[in-house]
Amino acid sequence: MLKRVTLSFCLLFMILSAISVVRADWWMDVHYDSRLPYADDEAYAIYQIMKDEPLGSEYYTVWVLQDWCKQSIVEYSLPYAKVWHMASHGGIDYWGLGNNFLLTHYDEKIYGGDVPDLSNVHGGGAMILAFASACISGASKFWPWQYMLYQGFLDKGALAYMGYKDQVGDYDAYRFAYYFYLYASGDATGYSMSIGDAKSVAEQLVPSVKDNIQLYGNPYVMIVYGETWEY
Amino acid sequence: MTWRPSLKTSLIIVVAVLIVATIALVGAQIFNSNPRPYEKPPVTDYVLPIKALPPNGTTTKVDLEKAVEMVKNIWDVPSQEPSAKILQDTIEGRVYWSLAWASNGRVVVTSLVDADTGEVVFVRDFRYTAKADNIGDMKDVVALAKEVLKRLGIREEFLSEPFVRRYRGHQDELHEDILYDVEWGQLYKGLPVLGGYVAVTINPELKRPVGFVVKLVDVREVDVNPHISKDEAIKIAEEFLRSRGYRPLKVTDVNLAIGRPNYYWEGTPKLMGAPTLLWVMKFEVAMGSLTTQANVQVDAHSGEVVGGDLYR
Repeated sequence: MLKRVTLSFCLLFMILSAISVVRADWWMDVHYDSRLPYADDEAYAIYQIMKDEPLGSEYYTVWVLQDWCKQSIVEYSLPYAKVWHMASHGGIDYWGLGNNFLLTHYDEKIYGGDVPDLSNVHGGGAMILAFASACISGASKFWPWQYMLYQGFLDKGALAYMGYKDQVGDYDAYRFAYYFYLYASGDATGYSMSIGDAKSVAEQLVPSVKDNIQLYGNPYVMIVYGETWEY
Repeated sequence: MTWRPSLKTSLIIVVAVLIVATIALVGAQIFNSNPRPYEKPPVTDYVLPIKALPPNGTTTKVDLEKAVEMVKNIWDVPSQEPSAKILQDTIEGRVYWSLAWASNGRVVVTSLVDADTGEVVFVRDFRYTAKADNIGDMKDVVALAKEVLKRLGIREEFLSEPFVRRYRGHQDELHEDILYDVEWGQLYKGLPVLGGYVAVTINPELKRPVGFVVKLVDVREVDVNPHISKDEAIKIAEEFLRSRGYRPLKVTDVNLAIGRPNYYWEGTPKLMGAPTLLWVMKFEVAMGSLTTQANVQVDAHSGEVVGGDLYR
């Protein structure tokens, strides 16, 4: 009897160990459209900042993704990413009367209604932040029939969404994104910041995007925490 | 009572361990492998636009103690020692002390101090969040901001008229954070200086400043007489856009300004150039099926395209 119990516990322990081995890391997907001169620099700069950053007991794996089509983004990127970033063109239909969208490299439009379920991403839990670094990606709903990108992301489970309510320059968007992740990750100060605080700092340092960059959802969430002070 | 497993039992345990380990490895491959059709690209030679330099191996003209003192002279910061990093901005060509005062792991005040001059470039104070707006008159906001200007020793004659902006920190009714921002643009001999500005952030509930940024450009050497005309500059810019595959549809704005060339059209971030006189033009352009806006900066002395931006 004792032998059986001991063996059962051994087996259980080994199974639990095996489960812990297959635990997942977090994925951060960084998309860019190669038609924009600084979008690739933005993606690689974010890669450098965010790779191996911790979120609780797990770490980020950052995927830099060039010129993905709409189907790949919707099926293979959005449902998996804990943090999702896209540096691309964006716009709004019918001179502001329609819905806003993100444009892929192949001129396909991704609308709020295209966003899949984001409540159980790779590694578990909901997507923390989607940041659409594109023109008009952060426009708010004005007409009753509109369904904007931020609504799509928040309705599908993302905790926060960032985008520009108006047009934004490639150079300015690159500068802002860089500062934002630098402060949010803690690389700038040694302490990671909530996305609301990091946005507040970054828009002071890149004033041309001030009042243009919009944050929807919970501003107190953090995309990085749990690191130790290295100096 | 001790249990001594027989050789057979020990072997069974070893085999079981091997089986479970194999399952774990296979499982790890299945669950951890990326189901998506791409690979992580090599990014080993990328240079960051802002690099964190190790404080122990980096010599700065202004040491940490002095940098902290400079901030304390103009801002009420917590009494404890701040954390400090040295940040090298490879685009603006400046080195900063990045200081942060934290409470319970949260940054409450953060600041950037120029490590060569000791100038406090930036402060943001997170201790006060505004849930209400007690500002009755915009003049009150400007007056509050001007007090900060005075504290910083900045004279208004080099600045434009202040521009006041009221905005919400985030679009969420549950987490209201209202801010006012008073911004002055830098001027030189009546011309705007691109990238030169002073901005003060005001908390409208407590009616107190919660941050500022000072980015002034040394433009004393700049010759403000253009050697090429506005029409010549437009022609140069249009030809340049066509050579890059953009079809200029119309010019929407043309201004003479002073600025540091950003060399945007070279395609990768570079150290900005010395301040010079620029023709700054905005074009509506078509690229393939897309219509967007492109900004082109032409050096008003040499006629070279030295910068710009492309709207996303």
